Amino acid sequence: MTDPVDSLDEPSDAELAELTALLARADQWGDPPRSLEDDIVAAIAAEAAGDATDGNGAVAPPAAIAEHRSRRRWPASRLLGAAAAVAVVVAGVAVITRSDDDGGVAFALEGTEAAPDASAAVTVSATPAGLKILLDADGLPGAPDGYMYEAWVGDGDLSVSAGTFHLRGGSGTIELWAGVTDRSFRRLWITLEPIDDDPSSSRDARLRGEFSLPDD
Amino acid sequence: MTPVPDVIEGFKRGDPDAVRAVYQEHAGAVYTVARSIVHDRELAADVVQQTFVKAWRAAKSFEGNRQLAPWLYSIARRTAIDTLRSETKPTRGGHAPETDVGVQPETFERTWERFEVRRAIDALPDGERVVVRLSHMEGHTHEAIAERLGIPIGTVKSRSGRAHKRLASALAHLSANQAGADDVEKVEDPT
Repeated sequence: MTDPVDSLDEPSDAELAELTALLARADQWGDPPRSLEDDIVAAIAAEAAGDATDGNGAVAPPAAIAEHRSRRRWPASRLLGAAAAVAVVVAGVAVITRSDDDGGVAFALEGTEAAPDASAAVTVSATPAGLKILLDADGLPGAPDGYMYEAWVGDGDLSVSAGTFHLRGGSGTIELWAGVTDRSFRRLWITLEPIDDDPSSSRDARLRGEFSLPDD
Repeated sequence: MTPVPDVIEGFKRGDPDAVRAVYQEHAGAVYTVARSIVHDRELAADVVQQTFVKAWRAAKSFEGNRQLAPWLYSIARRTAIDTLRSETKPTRGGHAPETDVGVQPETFERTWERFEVRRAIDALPDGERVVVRLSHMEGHTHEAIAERLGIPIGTVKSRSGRAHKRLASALAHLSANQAGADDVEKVEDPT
């Protein structure tokens, strides 16, 4: 069968130069989070059933989006819906913490739907320099070429990066630091991030969990 | 690629398979437009979600003989601009906006160009798309691409050449007279 491309003319040098300029823009290539398709299908299915709007006609954010929002506040009309969405997600997360010998807390991260076989043992300690995080991942594959993992700590409304890693050399203890000491930061999650010029979270979470630092 | 009428009718009904088909064909282009306006991946993902849900809500009035892409583009651009404006308003506490972004989005023609380029990229066969991506976005040579993909360099050159012919053909209308953008301007955001 003949490919229609065989009948096309070769691009001129000017056309190739124009194509090169268009295709070199990094933001031309980005993809939305992998979970978004399922979120949208679910949102439409729910609204088709008559219950997905927030009462003001606005689109209620799916849980995955609500959970990973960072660095910004929500309009008041959406806060209640967001709180409910976050509560639904958090309800499925194991909150198992214990104090270790150094005054930190040890707890587990669970794999998300994108990495159901992954888990991690984590120790978080509050130090004068910030939160020290030791992470031992199990079942989390090395990040694909062009990607890396990024750790985040958050308080539900604000998130702070705690560093990046790739695991392509195998597993081992990973030491991460977050420059926060506020004890309201109780959530830790790991995302898969494309290596690009965008510092914001991809929201493509692979591991997540909660912890609670002991009082001073 | 334009969804067949059955897919559009299914999308109007909210049929999950049809919603997925429309999403898979257009999500990349919608996301590209959103990122070019809001300059933030999280906000852009929100815009994508809002765009498809708004499109579904308004789909009852969509006539099957129209092009779906320009219609979705109009919704996406308007949604992204509204999101950008919303994000630059003072928050409830009265303090300054948290996101330092420009309030003037790219021109209609420029974002339409991005939309069409992304659609052309997504329409490439997988083998050609990955070669173009590694070459143009990541700056690899044909030799490096061949090594990375484990294929002969001749195959890389062949895929690259065919991809460029397809892209030049698919995007010829952009450099000709912005006819595509003119078509889109006639489409009002139905939401």
